Order: sequence, then structure tokens, then C-alpha cells
Amino acid sequence: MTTVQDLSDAGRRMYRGAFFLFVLAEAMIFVTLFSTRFLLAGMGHPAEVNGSLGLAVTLLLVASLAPLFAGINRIRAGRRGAGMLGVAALLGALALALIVYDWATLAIPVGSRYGENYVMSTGYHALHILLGLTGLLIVAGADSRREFNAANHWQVGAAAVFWSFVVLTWIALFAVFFIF
Amino acid sequence: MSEHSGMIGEAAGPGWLGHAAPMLRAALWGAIGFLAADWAVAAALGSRLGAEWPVVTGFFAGSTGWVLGGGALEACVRPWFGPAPAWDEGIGAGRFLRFHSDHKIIGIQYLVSATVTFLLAGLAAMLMRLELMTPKLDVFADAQQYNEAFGVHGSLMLFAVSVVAIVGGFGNYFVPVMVGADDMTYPRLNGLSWWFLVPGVLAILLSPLVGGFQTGWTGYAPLAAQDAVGQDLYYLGIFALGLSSLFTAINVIATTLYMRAPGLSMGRLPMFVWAMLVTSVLNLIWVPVIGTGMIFALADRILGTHFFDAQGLPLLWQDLFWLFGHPEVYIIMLPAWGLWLEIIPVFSRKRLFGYGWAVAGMLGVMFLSSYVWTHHMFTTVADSRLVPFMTTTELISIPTGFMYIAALGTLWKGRIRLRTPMLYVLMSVFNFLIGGFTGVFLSDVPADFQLHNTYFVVAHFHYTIIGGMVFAWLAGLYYWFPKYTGRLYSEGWGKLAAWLVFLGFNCSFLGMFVAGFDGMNRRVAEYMPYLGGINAWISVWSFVLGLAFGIAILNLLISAATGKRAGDNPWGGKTLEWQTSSPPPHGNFARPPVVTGDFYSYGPERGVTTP
Repeated sequence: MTTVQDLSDAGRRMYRGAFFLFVLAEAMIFVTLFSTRFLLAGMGHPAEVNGSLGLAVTLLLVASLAPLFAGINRIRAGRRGAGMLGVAALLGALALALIVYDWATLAIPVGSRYGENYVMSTGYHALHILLGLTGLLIVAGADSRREFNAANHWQVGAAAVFWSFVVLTWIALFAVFFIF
Repeated sequence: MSEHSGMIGEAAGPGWLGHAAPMLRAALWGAIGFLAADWAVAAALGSRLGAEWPVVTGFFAGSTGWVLGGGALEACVRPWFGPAPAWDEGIGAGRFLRFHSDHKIIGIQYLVSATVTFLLAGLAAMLMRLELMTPKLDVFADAQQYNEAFGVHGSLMLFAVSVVAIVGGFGNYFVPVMVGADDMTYPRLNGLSWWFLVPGVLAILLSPLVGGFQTGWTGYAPLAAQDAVGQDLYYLGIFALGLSSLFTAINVIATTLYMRAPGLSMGRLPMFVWAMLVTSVLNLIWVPVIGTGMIFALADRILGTHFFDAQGLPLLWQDLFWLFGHPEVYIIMLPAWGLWLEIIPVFSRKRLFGYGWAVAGMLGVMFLSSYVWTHHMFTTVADSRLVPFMTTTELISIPTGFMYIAALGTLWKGRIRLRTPMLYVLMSVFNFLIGGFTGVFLSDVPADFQLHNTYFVVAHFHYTIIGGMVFAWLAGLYYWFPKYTGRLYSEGWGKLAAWLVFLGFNCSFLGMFVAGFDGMNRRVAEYMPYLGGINAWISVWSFVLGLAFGIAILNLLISAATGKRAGDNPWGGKTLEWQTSSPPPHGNFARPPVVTGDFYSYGPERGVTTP
């Protein structure tokens, strides 16, 4: 990541396209998780589900998209975006902390049909938040060392695509576990 | 070796210890990681060292130590924090014993590990056949040990040999060369992929040390939930092998889509590359599904959930398993078809017949293969699922037929040279016909009710996997041998081994069809005495088969050391890998190749490719 060479347009297209393959594979994990939830637990959710906490996580993650896009736009314009990426990571970290808090105070029995799916899906998603945060922090660090420029920043794009995927997946998760 | 350039300071080579240092470090870190985590968790929980949590955390820590110790720490992790990547990729033999980003080195790493795993899992099969020589239990101490043996045999052969040998070995080595690229899209991710393979193989291979697993390679619940700790290693091992396949799939698709040489349109792509592309799409989509299934099942055992056990839905495991498990059959077979259609034109000196139809057939198999999984579960699912999946399964034989039409149409009136690779391909075409036809029997619900869980099924899938894929893999090993070693193999020994493999294989596995019809159940260590004759016949021929595989591989090993120089293009092939030196240099081509015609215009001179 430190040796960013000048990429051709074709090179940029390649890295961007190839990264979507990775995201597609990740998406299949959540397809499996969500379909298992409906297969095993049917429709409906228990009253103990902490809906306001789920909503707070959703809002934090959606809000993190704004500094994310601001950061990548700044890098695209040849300026530093590390600060903005850091803000996005901070919002993501708050969301992760809320999920940990939720697990610590969980009222749904883990052994129940709904409960085991809830824990499995939120746990898997928390792992993806952690991965996404790692990616954001690595590119923010690299950007603060001035390793990217207007032409070469596909790593920032990759971290942003992955983070957007994490946010979109949470929105789906919120619907699957808190609304249905 | 010849890569001594002036840039390398040492006049003398690094010596064997220097060559092997990174792999020794990886093994040391892996062992320390496993033992430390195992001991720490066991002490914290007050449990045995071989209990579930200590072994599971030990596996994670050990694998991490192994991957980082091999060089991933310096090559992949260190650059995240600022410093430039600092990893010496070694010279000579040392390149194969460390983290390396050259796709050709990785391909050889995959080929060697797949061969070693093949021989080890084959040894388990030999033990099983020795047990089945007589109706009574006499080799293993009890039936559970026999179960562990076929579990290890099946899991390794399916997840670490047949989906890895061609895809990881030839796919890594030849896809970039055949599309005229200098390397894969993500070379370091590619380097990582092999390092995940080894912990996966070791987990399954060593699972008998903590009680093994009784479920066989399919890991069916609810038996799996009650099994010994070895079952956890089955889940973890297959998860690690899945990661390895996934990384390769991402690279193969990206390389094929984005790194083709000028002039190489998709419509000119060599058949092997098409096969690898289609296979990788299947891997990309379905490996995450079974990986998640493995995590569900692991949670059932260590976290107290009830996804698949008797309180949950055991059938859901079967669905998740076969959602990958059936596409996997085509992940195994599509690369083999690619090899058929690559090798047959070269040794028939004739244009590939029906290129477009063969590609359409591969795509058709790719789409249909995701809609047939329930045919493994005809005896367990609701009646409403029987006819739809019988129909899709029988439909898939149509695109498969396109591959046969292309192969036979190319052979027709060709000038056939019966060299060892061609011999293996023709044998594979013959064997797979039997495997495929018996598959149509089994897709038929009434026949399947009768034959399910008998040796008929065992014979059928060994005909597709050994008869189809392993024969094609051997064909590829011999076909590309001059390219990846630079030497010629011994033709006489090669042909002798080919005929012995063919004889041993067909005599033993045709016998299994008979045993199956006669009522021989699969996965049993003891059987009714009236089946003794046919089982003794199968066992004797399977020992011949094991010996023949040994000769075939030994011939390659000896020839790699002592064979004559092969030159760049001993077969007169037109695909790009034959237009560069043997073995290709780092970066593959002296000048970037430009493709000006299609690759299969043998016979009358038409389009040509210029390097």
C-alpha cells in the first residue's frame, strides 16, 4: 500500500471491478444468514428486542456515510481526506460499541429459535464492522502519510466500497430482525 | 538455478537451511500459536488440552502463526502501517518454501501439496479396502476407526485435492500465462491463498488425534452434534480450505476479465481459461454459503445454539451443504473438461470442433449446477421437491453433452498422436461417460430410492471424480510437464502407468456397481458374507490402482530431475503458454504478447499467434 504506482485507467477499472467480486462473496454470507433466520424462526420477532438500540446503530452507520464520501471526494480532488475518514470510523466504532452493549444486556434467550439467529447475524455483522473499521483506519493512516493522490487512491475506494457494503447490510439486517 | 542476477550480493547460495528458513519459521510459529492457545484456554477453563474450546482457539492461533510466519507478516501486514513491503522472495528452491507472490511458484506449491494430500488420502483408502477384503472387522480396532478413515479420505479428497489440484495448481500457473498477463490481479492475496490450504489439510488429517469424526465428508447433523472434538476440526479445516478457494476464485475471474493480452477477446479465450472462469464463479458464489454453514454447525457444538441438531432443523444442514456440495461436483469437473478440450486439438492436429457450443455448454452447466442440489437428498426431503430436482438434474446432461460433442467432433478424422497426456484424456472421456450415465440413473427418483447409500453411488461418484477429474489432472500433469519443469518425461513409463491406472480403476470401480446392486451399503466396515467375493476382487484391483498412481507420480518426479531438455514447445501447441520459454520467466513473457488469431486453428495454416 505504500508503493502506490501510477495506475492506468485500465488498472483502476481492474482493481475496482475485482474488489466487487470480494463484496459479492461477502454478500452470499448474509444471504445465507438472513434466509436461515426466516427458515428457522419464521416471521415476527419477540417483544424483548431492543428496537431503539437497533435504530441508533442504523442511524450511526448511515450517518457515517457522509464523512466517508466527503473524505473520498477530498482525496479525489487531491486534498487530504484522513480526518473525514477518521470521523466515519469513529461513528462506526460507536455503532460497534452499541452492538457489544446489546450483547451484554441481551434479553432474548440465545437458545431460542429467534435468539440464535439474532446472535449469529449480529455477531457476523459486528465482525464485518470490525473489518471495515480496520480498512478505514489503514487508508486514513496511509492518507495522513500522503500516500495517495488524485489519480491513485483505489485502496481508499476499496475501503469505502466495503464500508458502504457494511452499512447497507446492516440496513437489511435491521429490517430482517427488528421490523419483520 | 538460473536466476542469479548481479543484484543478489551473495556469491554462494543460501544453503538448504536458508532456503527453508521461512517455512521452518512458519511451522514454529504455527506450533507455538497452537500449543500456547490450547494450553492457555485449557488452563482458563480447567478442561483437557483436547477439549473443544482449547482445540478451536488453538486452530485459529496456529493458523495465524503459520500464515504470518511464512512471510505474510512482512509482505502483507507490515505495509498497512507505513513501512515499505520488505520481503525477500528468495531464489532457487527457496522460492517454493516461503510466501511468494509469483503465480507460477504458487501453482507449483498447490500442485505439490495436492499430490501429497492425494497420496495420504489414498493411503486411507487402501486401509479401507484392506479392511473390506473380508466380511469381518480385522484391520481397524472398531467400526468407529473405519468411519474416521473414510471421513478423512473423503474430506481431503473432495475439499483439498479434487477442487484444488486443477484449480489451484494449473489455474494459478497457467491462467495468467494463457491470457498473456504477467501475473494475477492481486499477487499477494494469491500468495496468501496457499498458506490457508495447509492448516485446512492438517486439521482434517490430524482430527483422529482428538477423536476424529464419524459423519464422513458430508458431516450430516444431528450425528455431527454428538461427535468427538474431531468434528470441530472438520468444520474449521473446510472453512480454511474454502478461504483458499475463494481467494483463488477472485484472482482467476479478475485476471481473465481484466488482464487479457491485446487481441485476446473473450471469444478467443482458450477452453481451459473458460473452464477456470466458470469454475471460479461457482466457487465465488457457493463457498461463502458452506463456510457460513460450517460456522453455524460449529456454534451448535461450542456455543450451545441449535441450528442443525435434533432440536433444530437437521435438514437445513443438508441443504446448506449440498448448495455448495453440488456445484462443487462441477467445480471439480469443469476444469477437467477444460483440459480435455485443450489437449485434444493439440494431439489431433485439428481445429477444436464447436468452440461456441463448448463454451455455451460450460455456461449452461454453471447455471444449472446451482439448481440440482436436492438430488442428494431424495430420501429425506418432502415429496414436492422430488420431481423438480429430478428434472433439473436430468437437464444438466444436455450441456454436458456439448462437451462430448466438441471432444468427439475434434477427434473425428484427426491425426491422433497417442502420447501419454492424450491417452489420459481419452480415458477420462471414456470413464466420465460411465460416471455420467450412472448419474442419470441416480437422478431418477425411483432408481435413487433403491440405490441410495449403496456402493452404486460410491462407484458413480468415483467414476466422475477419479475417472473424470483425476485422469484429466494426470493428463494435465503430463501435458504441461515440459512447460513447468523444462524437461521431458519418460514416455514409456508414462504410458505403462496410464494403462495400469486405467485397468486398476475400471476393474475395481466397475465391481462396486455390481456390489451396490447386490445390496452392499456404503460406509460399513463389516458386511454380509455373500458379498465377500466381489469385495475381495475390488480390493485387489484397488491395490493395483494405488500402485499405478505411485508409478505415474514417481515417473514425473524422476523425469523432473533427469529428463531431457524439452524446448519451448514440444507438442506444437498454439496457446500462449507454449509461446514463451520453459519454464516461463518472472513476468511470463519477454515481450508482451499480441494475439492475432484463434488458438485452435491446427492443420491448414490460418490465424497465428505472435509472442
